[in-house]
Formats: sequence, C-alpha cells, structure tokens
Amino acid sequence: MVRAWLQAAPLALVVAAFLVVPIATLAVVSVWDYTEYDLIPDFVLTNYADVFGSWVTYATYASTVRFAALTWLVTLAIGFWIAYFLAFHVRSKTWQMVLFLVCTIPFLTSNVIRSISWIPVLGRNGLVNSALLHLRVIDQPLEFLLFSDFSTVLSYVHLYALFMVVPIFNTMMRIDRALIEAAVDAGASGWQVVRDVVIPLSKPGIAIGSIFVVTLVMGDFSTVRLMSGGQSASVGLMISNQLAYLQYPAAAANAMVLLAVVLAIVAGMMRVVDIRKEL
Amino acid sequence: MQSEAASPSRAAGTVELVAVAKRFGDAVAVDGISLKIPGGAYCCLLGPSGCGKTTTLRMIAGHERPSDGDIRIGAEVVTDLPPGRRKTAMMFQSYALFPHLSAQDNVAFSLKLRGVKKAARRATAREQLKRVHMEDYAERLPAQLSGGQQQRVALARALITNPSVLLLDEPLSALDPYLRVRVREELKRLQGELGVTFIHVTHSQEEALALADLVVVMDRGRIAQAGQPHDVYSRPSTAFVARFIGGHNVLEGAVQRRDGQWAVLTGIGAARFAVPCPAAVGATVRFAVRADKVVLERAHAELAAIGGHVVAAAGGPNRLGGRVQAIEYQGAFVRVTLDDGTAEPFTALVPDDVFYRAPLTVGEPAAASWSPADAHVLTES
Repeated sequence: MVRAWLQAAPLALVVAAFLVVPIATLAVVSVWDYTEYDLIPDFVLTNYADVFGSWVTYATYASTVRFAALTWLVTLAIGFWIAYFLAFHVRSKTWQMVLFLVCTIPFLTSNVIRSISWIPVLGRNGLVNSALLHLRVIDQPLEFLLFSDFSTVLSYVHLYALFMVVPIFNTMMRIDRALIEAAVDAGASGWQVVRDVVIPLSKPGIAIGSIFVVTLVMGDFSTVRLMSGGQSASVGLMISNQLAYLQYPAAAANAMVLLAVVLAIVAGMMRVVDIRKEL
Repeated sequence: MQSEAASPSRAAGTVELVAVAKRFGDAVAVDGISLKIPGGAYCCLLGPSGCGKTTTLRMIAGHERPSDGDIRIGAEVVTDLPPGRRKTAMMFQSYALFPHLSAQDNVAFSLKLRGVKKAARRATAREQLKRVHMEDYAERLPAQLSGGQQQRVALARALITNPSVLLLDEPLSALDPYLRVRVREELKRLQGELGVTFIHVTHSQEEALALADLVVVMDRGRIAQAGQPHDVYSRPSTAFVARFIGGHNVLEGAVQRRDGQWAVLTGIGAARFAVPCPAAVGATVRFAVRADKVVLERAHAELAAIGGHVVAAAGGPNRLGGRVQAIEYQGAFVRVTLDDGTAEPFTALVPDDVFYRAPLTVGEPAAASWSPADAHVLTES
C-alpha cells in the first residue's frame, strides 16, 4: 500500500507543482480586485463580468477560433498527406526514417526565429514579391503576403504541421497492410482505399494531431503579434497585454475562460473520436 | 469429380499458369511454374515455408506481379489486371477484416465500393452471413468475434462478389485443431455447393490430402508434384515429396543384380532390397516405403550380434533391422521409430491391436519388413 503511494508520488508531485498549483493560483487571483497600482485579495466577480461584458472578448475569441480553424484545416490537409506518403508510399524503412527526420529539422530552431524568417521572404521587397515583379506577373508588390491573416496562418502552419504529421504517421504505421490489400481485392480504387480504410483507421491520430494544433493556436500570442504586424488580436495576446498593464486579476480571469474554452473543444474532439487505444 | 465442360460457370473458374516466375531482387520466389487448375476444382498448394506457394497465390490474386509468364483465368489473360477485375476473391491468413466496420459492413464492403445503397447492400450482406451461419452477429465488430467467427465473416466477404476463383491463404492455421477439422469440412461442402474453384495454400499435408481434388506440392519455387491426393500420397515422385507428405520412409541403394522386373539393391551396411525398377546394375536407386505398409517384429538373435546396425536380415530381401528409438501412441496406430544407422530414422506405423499383442520397448532390436511391391521408386529431384 505504502509502496504504491511512493511509486505514484514523484509524478503526482510534479503534476501538483507544475499544473495544479499554478492553475489554482490563477483561479484564486482571478477573483481578486485590483487598481492601477495594487492587487487586493478579495472575492469579486467583476473580472469575469468584464470579460463577458465586453464585445472585445467576443471579437477576439472569434478571431482566435478562426485562426485555429484555418490552421487546423491546412495542417490536417498537409499533415495527412505527408503521413500517408511516408507510411504507404515510402517502402524502405531507412528512407521512411530519413524523410521523417527531414520533417523535424525546422524544429531545431526556435519558434520566434522561424516566424521572423518569413519576413524577408514575404515582405514588400521580399523574395516572393521581387521574384514576381521580375517575372512581370505583378506590377505592384502584393500587400497581403506579410502582416496579414495570410502570413499569420502560414506561420502557424509552418510551426505546427509536424504536430499533425507525427500522430497520424504513427497511427498509419499500425494499420495492417493486409487491410489495404483486402480493400484492393474487393475492387477498391486508390482513392476508395484512402476514404474507406485509411481515413477511418487514422482517426485517432487525426484527433491527437488536431488537439495539439488547436490548443497551440488557441494559446498563442507571439506569432500572431509578429506576423499580423499587430493588426490581428488573439486571446493570448489580450492576456499578454493585460499582464503588461499589470492587470493580473483581469488576465487571470481571461486565462480561466480560455482554459475552459480549450478544454471544451478538446472534450468535443474526444467525443467524436476515441483516442484511448492510441495512448 | 464433375466434368469441367459440363457448365460454362465452371470453365470460367479455370486457372492456368504459364511459365510464371517471381523474383524479389536476386531471390527467386517462384521459378517458372506451369499449372492448369480445372474450373470448380479444389486445389491445394502445399509446401514448406519459403517454397513459393503464397507468392503463387498472390500472383493469381493480382497482389503480386509475375516477373515472367502469364496467368489465365477462364478465357482471359489476367496478368496485367488489378485484383478487383480478376473474378478472384482472396481470404487472407489474418482474415484482414476491417476493424472499424461491423460484420455486415465488412461483408458489404465491395458493394459499397460499387455504389450500392446502404439498405440494399446490407440485405445482401445478411444473406451471405446466413450462408456461413453468422446472421446473428451482423452488428458485431471484428474484435467482438472469435477467430472462427471472424473467419466465417471473411469467407462471406470474399464470396459476396460471386468470384469464379476463391483464393485462401492458410485459412485454417489460426484455428485450434478441433475447429480446424470442422471448418475444413465446411469449406469442402461450400466449395461443392458453389462450384467455385478454390485455391488453398497450406503447409499441412493432412489438410491438403483431406480437401483437395488437386494437390500441388511445391519446393523451392518449383512444382515438385501435382496430382490427385491419392496419387501423390501413394506414389510420391521425389524424395522431397515423400518426406514432406509424410508417412514415408526414403531409402536408397545401388543395383547389385537384376531379377526379372526387380532390381535388387544393396543399401547401407548389408541391407538388401528388391524394388520394381528397370535400372541397370550399378545405378543408385531411391525408393519410398509407406510407414503403414511396414511389418515390425522383435529381432533379438539377428541384431544382438552386430550391435543394432543395419543387417540383411535372414529370409530374403526387404527387411531392415535397427533399435527402437521411440514409440508414440497415436490412437489407431502406434508410431515406432527405428535407428537403422542412417541419418534418417526408419518409421513404422503399426495398428494398435497388432502392436499391443507383442509390444516393443525402446532400445530393443527389431526388424522391419515389407512386400517388395510396396517399394515405390522415386525420381531424382
């Protein structure tokens, strides 16, 4: 009995110290009062009233959810086909490994650097614009390339596509190849095999990848600030701004709401797909 | 056996391989085999693992492209056709049921691909499930079915396309021995009812002998022998077939003299055998003797003197002596193995009542004898 408790203790302590305590602190601070200069321990719901009473909140959530949805769609489309190619079309194990590692190479640099590196590519005088100008495809630089929703989503996709590829690839590698042959034997075309066998059996991986991507985008504040040129808002950015103004209780209340929303989205995804057998 | 020409649907199930070969890199899996399987026949491809039998099956199914040669099904050359257009259906060794689909949706899968509406395809699938007595399990997922039940579903799924040829890859190997015999009977019954050509890959000679109209024994990518089970068992063509099919002793000797139709051989030691064979004096002859045609007797006097090695036992040819190495009770028979001094022990299957009238014990000297007419001469493989 004691042994069992001891064996569980290290993980329990880590979880308590780094998850339970911070969230509890957040919950406590979210009901404190504050002035420009001071935090006042209290129990008030004004912070939540501010969050739910302001149209800015709804607009910001709408913008964040839109980014999350767009990023999810694009990473899913890209991630699924990369995983499919690696799992079913690369025959040799060695090449599978090599190509898989190639996919992870962008992760050797930091998020910020990877975002910033788009600027010389997409900027007004960047690679894309100057190339198109030289080719006379356009005669004005394209403005939407940088500091726009386009560049924001592009950057998210660049940052998070791998989080979609890895779990889907994992699930696909566990699909019995005889199932593919059985489908072909029954007369399935390549596309029918994908639709009726590969996609249904890859669902757990798709769900896990989706959870990664959606939670990461929902919580982001740096990429959106950098890549939208300050023109788009996100919930994370809103919280970060409140922190900058030392409005800790307001930020905490906002964070609690964000946490609840993200958990609700994840719960919704888990309802659609049973991922337990993948864990 | 029904005649092939009697019905056009049977002719549609004729499978012909013409010099079919398959190479994987440098490895030769199938080495130019030619074979004609009559429509409506139950054919077993039999051989040890790595003999090319599964590759042959997969080439007929279209899951593997032959490196050389052609495959014809019915009147059509199908070498370049995809699996779905060959009028074949395959039942996979692991059954390969789709884990995300219920039994009826698994069976209805090929109908779904053809755009048949859900209600219609499920109705057809249920009929198929009824044929294999699985209609009560239509809603279950494969994981909720036992191995035997999964196999029935796989069979129903293969048959729903009305194939002319059903290909079965070791269909019984995952079942327990009791179920194996029952399912075997059922396969044979079903094949008779449907009149569809069955091609069944197995490494079990017992299975092949029990089921097949045509047994094809394969060895290292080639066909060692093809024929009716009774012919293959009673007249194996090579030492490999005799050994693989089991129940045979393979012996050899040099022709010492001729006596009419008989060649008299001397084997290892001083053993002398008469075999029906036209070989000239001096030639080496290999022959097989069925273990159940052998008579065993106790042989104290003869063997004690020479320490249990092979002797030309007194009383003429076709006797062999040795020490009893092992005794296995098998029910109707007792399997007695003699150490005759060669690498390969000599086996006799003695009816249990005969054996227990005067039971032998391990280590005892014994003499085996058989009628010269029961010696079957083998060709070199």
